[in-house]
Amino acid sequence: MPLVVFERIKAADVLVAVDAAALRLGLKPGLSLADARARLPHLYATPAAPGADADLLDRLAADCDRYTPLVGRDAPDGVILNITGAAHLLGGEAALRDAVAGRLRAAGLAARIAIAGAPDTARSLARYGRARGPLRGNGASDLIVPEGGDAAAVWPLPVAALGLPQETVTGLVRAGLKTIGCLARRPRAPLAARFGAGLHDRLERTLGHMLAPISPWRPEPVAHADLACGEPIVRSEDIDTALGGLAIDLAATLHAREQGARRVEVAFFRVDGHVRRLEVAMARPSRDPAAMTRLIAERLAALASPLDPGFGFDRIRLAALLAEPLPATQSDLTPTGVADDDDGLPELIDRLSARLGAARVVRCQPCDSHIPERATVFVPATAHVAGRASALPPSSRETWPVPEPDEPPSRPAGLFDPPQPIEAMAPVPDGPPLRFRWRRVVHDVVLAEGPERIAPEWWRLTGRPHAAEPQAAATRTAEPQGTQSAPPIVRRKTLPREDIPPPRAGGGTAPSPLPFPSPDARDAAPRLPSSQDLSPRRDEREDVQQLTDWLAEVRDYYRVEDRNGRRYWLFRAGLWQPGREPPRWFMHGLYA
Amino acid sequence: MPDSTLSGLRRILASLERGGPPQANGIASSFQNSWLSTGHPGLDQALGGGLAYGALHELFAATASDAGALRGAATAIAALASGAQTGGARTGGARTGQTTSGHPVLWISERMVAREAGAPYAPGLALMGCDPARLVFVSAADTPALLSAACDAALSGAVAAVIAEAWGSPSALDLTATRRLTLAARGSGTLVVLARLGAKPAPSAAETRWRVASGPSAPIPGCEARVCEGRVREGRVREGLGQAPGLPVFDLTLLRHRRGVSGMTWRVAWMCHERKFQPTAASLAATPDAAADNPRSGAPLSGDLAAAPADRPAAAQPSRRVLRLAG
Repeated sequence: MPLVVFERIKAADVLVAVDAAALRLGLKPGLSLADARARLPHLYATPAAPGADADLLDRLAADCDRYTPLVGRDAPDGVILNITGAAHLLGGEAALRDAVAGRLRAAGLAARIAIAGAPDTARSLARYGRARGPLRGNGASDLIVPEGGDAAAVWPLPVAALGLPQETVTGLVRAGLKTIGCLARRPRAPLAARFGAGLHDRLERTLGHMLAPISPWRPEPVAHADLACGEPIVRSEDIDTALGGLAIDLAATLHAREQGARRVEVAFFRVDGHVRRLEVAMARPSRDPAAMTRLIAERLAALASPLDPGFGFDRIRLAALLAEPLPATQSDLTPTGVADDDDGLPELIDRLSARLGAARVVRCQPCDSHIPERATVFVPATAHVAGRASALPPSSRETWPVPEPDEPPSRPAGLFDPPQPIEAMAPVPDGPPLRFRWRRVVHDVVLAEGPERIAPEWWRLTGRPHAAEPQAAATRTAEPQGTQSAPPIVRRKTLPREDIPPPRAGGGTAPSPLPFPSPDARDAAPRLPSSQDLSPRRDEREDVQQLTDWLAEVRDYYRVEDRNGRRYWLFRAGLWQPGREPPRWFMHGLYA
Repeated sequence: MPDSTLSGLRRILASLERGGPPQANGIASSFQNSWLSTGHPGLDQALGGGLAYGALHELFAATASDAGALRGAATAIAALASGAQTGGARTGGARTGQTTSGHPVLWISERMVAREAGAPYAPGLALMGCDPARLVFVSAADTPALLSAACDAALSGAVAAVIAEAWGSPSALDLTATRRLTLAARGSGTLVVLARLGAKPAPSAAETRWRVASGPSAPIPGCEARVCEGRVREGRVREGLGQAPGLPVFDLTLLRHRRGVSGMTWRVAWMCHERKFQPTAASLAATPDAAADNPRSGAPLSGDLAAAPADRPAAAQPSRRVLRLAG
């Protein structure tokens, strides 16, 4: 039964691809599905699935990885292999062509194969090199272009083989230039003036005069070792043995180049074309085969979906994706000398990363932000600076805060991200909380310090145009005061302790003697409601959005201690303003 | 012959005498058979010099609300371990060894702990005197992952200390698991701390077992004039405000000590800048210096890992009367 694939284009189902049987019966891509059905009522039609096509192409490219490490995708339906220096491994170009064709045919795919001196030449030949007959898997021998015969081979091809836009092709054909040979004979300048420089480039490439680079589907490994198995292997013991041998081979290659691998990939090529790839990273360059094998074993043991050999793996490749210089060193002759400072730490990091995942074994780096949750960032320990832990730069520029004598830490040892909403009772406008409820427990505050005002990073706020202006004002006003003891990173705006006033009974709305908020901030604040009126009402939004909104407010942080001696870091999001919804409180961290 | 070479040879001899092979390399091996001094005279005396390297120490939060204190105590130990000096073999000699800029510490948190007590926050750790550049953090999905990572680290000896924060009392965290950790730590000389939140103290193979609770912080020096101690402590909250919380204060109870007496409680403050524990003023007045009257008595118990009585100290008798007074 003829098979066609259709796609909906401008409200009409149009054929985009047809199989050989349909082609013989006169159906062509571009015909509408209704017309096709009228001609052949027993047609089997299926909608196009570009995503599935792309997946298939990926799998195809992955499988072709077995022939050469440099494979490029030629979307939507082609794969380009650079077989320079790889063809002889399979006994020459013809043998390689037959091997590829046989493998694709076995997978149920019809393919055309051309081998030429330049990628674009081969591409044109594969697509237009034969009469428009039925597609067949076994490419004819004339599609292997002999050395230096590129131009002659593409001479008779139609201009469509250049891969130019449709209007250019139409223009050329209307001008009577029907084959590449016609074009190649003509002077280039008028052609370029009429059809653009793109035509010239394509022509040169297709004629093989200019080499276009193949953009590889995957990065080409620095070094790799392959094992082609005559009999597909299934048992895990065999796989381990194979990996051990490959690791020794790869280590030898790296040793010859005085390099050590930072990232190693192992690829299992299954008989049915499926390729499973695993990657392990190392904290410092290494070419120790035992270490590599151990890491891969850890990675294999930790797989969520275990390695499925199916009918067996017929090829296993171990490749170093990233390598760094690693000069040969004299091994240490002293048996148990003074221990090295970070002896074994990279190996430990590698092992844990391989088992738990690189994102779970991390180091901290300081960041230039005074928003607490952004003041530090976790980086995978394997991606961290190669080399010795003791020589690690704290960061590029930022440094950690250092404790000052007799000064309690201003930041908690544990941080909640996101902050947890609490209910708090506090004097207005900006007194410290007197009592708060967190996780259904009420805490009475006996000691408090604050506020430390941290303004949001208005340049990060997006989608809230009305919010930017007042908060920028708050940033401005908060800056000059109370920053005497500012450490370099986190701008502390804690008040000097002597300035904390006695609490006001009842918490009235009398003007505060505190420098925060300063009169400017107050002036800026009343502008909020007017712009708020235009925005959608808060209770119409989702809770998450509401929380995000609150967290984008200016924050007043308080260090408090409750009656049981537990210390917390709380903040009030937003300023208290008469007539507006009272600001919300959040628990952000636990002090020791 | 330099002292460090001597102490190195002593370590080799000690390990040979135990019947094991010479220790593997690694930072932890240089701490083999030594103690991590806490800086608190009472604590150090009771522990015989400090927290023993090459052993497992368990910290239990007194209640789930003491998560902050638990994290703080673990941070303090990490700060001490990452800044400790090498050398100082237990078998003899003064503390020698080279001064290094710091040692790596592995910090493993179970996911549930991060949810309950917050994720370890590097700026806060730095302000407690624990350099985050020395720390490698691991997030474990569950207790088995936590234990296997801790065991690996303890076996490798690549880190001076392992801090493992576990949640609850899962079945994976049983006597076998703690014994495995103990053996791994003993082999390499790593100090392993198991900080347990939401768990009740239970028998285990740990060298010491502690209960950690938050204590009311000391007033900040310079503000004493404004302290109205009585009123604040009586809970007249509103009039007491104006005081800032001070340095971290813990109530540490030594529940179990495999090589000595236990049952004592100290109220200690962590000096973030000096990186040491210090008795608080209040605790100095309240607690008789029990440990001073109690020089550590001779031989340890027979067998390092004898079945531990869970409810009473496993120590020799002489000091008990005094300690009860202290209780």
